[in-house]
Amino acid sequence: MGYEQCNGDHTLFYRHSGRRITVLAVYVDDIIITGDDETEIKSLKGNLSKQFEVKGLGQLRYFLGIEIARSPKGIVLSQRKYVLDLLSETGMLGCRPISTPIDPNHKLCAESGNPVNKESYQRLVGRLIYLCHTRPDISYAVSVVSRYMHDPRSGHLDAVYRILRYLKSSPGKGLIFKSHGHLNVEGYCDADWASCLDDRRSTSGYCVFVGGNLVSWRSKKQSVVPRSTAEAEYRAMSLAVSEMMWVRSLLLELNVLRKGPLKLWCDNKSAISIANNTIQHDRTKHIEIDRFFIKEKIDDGTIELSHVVSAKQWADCLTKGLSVKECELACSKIGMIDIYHPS
Amino acid sequence: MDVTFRESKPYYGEKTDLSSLFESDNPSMGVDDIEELLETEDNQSRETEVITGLIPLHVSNSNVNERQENRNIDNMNARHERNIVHVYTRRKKTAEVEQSQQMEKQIEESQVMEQQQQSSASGVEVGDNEVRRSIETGGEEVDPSIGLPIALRKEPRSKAGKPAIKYGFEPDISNYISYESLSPAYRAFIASLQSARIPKDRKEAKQDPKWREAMLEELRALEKNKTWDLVELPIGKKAVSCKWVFTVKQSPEGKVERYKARLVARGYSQTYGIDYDETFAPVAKMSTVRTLISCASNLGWPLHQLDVKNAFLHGDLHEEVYMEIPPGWSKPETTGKVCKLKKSLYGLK
Repeated sequence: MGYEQCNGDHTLFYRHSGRRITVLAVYVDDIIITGDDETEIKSLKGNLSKQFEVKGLGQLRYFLGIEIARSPKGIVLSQRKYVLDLLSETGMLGCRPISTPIDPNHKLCAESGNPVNKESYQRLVGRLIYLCHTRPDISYAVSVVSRYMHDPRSGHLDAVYRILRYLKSSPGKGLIFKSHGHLNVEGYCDADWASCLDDRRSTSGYCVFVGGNLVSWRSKKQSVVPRSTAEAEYRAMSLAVSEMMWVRSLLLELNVLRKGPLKLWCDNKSAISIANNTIQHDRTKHIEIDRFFIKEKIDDGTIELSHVVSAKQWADCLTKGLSVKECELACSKIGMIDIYHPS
Repeated sequence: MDVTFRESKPYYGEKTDLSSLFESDNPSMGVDDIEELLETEDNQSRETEVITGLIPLHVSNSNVNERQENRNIDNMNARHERNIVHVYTRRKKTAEVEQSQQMEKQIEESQVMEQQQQSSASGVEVGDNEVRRSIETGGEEVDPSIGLPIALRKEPRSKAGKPAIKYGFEPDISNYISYESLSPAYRAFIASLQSARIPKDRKEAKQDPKWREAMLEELRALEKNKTWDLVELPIGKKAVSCKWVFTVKQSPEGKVERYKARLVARGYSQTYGIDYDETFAPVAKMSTVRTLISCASNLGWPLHQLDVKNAFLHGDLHEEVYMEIPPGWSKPETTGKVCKLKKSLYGLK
């Protein structure tokens, strides 16, 4: 039908006709159609219904268990039903809500408490991982508890229950996509050095905004042990750069990206200077690949590194547990809103 | 004066610390309460009956009396079969009327006890302990512990509220919870809440027209898709078995949207390299979807969604896979044949 498969994501198909575009995203048997070419969308729908037995469900509302609400103010993705189902299944509907997903000074390690039922722990954490599609605020907490899937202890299970209690405080919270009138790509990266008590590895976190809306984020324990904070930040930076490159390629194919470098914000000055400086530092000899990868992207002008004060570092909530105030601020800044909240 | 002790009610009031003894075997309190209500009603009617029968003359073995006794015993038996509830009584020997009444009651009780013993002999293990107790207290003989409060005399029943194991009851919640104590209105309400029961297997599903319709719909879709040909099973090939899986689809509000039956192949019996080579499912990355939504929001694009029915079944199958005839589809012409799959099916690899 004249649709091209996208290189950035093989399940995305697009078709340009003149300056207009139609995009098709396939998730096994669910299809999302969008674009600014209304006539093409109509004919595409007709074509598809000839080929397959389809149910045209009209406006996008419910996709893979994610509720999508659209208003002139923006589009909101939430998994309210999923959260409520999860709470009632675990018998936590009546629990006491709490305002942060994880204790800021948590000291979780491999041996905290007695062993608990492995299967049920894994199932529960697995459900929480799926919930992360619309809840970046619990991403860090979930990444912490999922480190102990192979040998869960009672302390870890308590941390999971705390996440559930946090979910109870605002089950309808979701991501909002507002219209900012541009499609600039911005990234924030952060790292928490030596945060894992078992093997002293660090946690890297990044979030990528497209057009002012959060689209991609990650909280991940690093695979190697860094020797300094700068090094940990640096690895987080390379992770963020690769994600931003992917988003850029996607937008380039859809032909909606404006020219100019992508901005990456980092709150560690020494990491920035390592990235900008060509001189080989004595302390960074061992991180060559990441160094050259970032260097290359900066030199060809796709990425621009800037410093941001820690207070405006929105990737903060992906690398450590925050206090109540910080948590609320971060939630509002990364565009999380509870449309069901009575206020 | 008659004093009646009941298992479920502390005689010495709630404030004494004895009440904790009663609370220890409490899980079936709700049922007991109702049972007790029934019991009091029964008791009263019996008492009045007995008195009217007895006051005019002190005749212990008159025909009338016997008939009434029989009736009473029948009554008791009926109740006894339903549920064993023990009533402990203590009386003083004073007035003649009361004495006669008491004698009559004793007879009655001893008969009931016999009944109890019979039933316990025939298998009610729970009653055993209590029968002995009621002999001690009901039989008016001198009991050294008679001065003690009943809560101390009587130890808590170890098997309270549980059916005997030898009956083969599974420790299932449905053995302990029933709709019985609910009023019809509530019963209907609760039944409507639980109406979306998912059948375990095809036999169960066949009973319900909703599920039967769902299965027929799935079979129709499969036939329309020309999913298989009927062939004889070649020698040396194995047929994959299949089963039905049932789900209730719910809308975001939690309402029942539709009943769905799906025929799945038991693909785990397939072997890599022989029955299948590659598996693939187009799964979009969630961040792609979010990027698209951000674009849509910023550029004002509309968002539409389509759902392909039986999407998996559109994939053409290149390998030779044989499947058994789906249960519930067997016709005369299908005997001894198997389905050679042309299109893919859920559960296949």
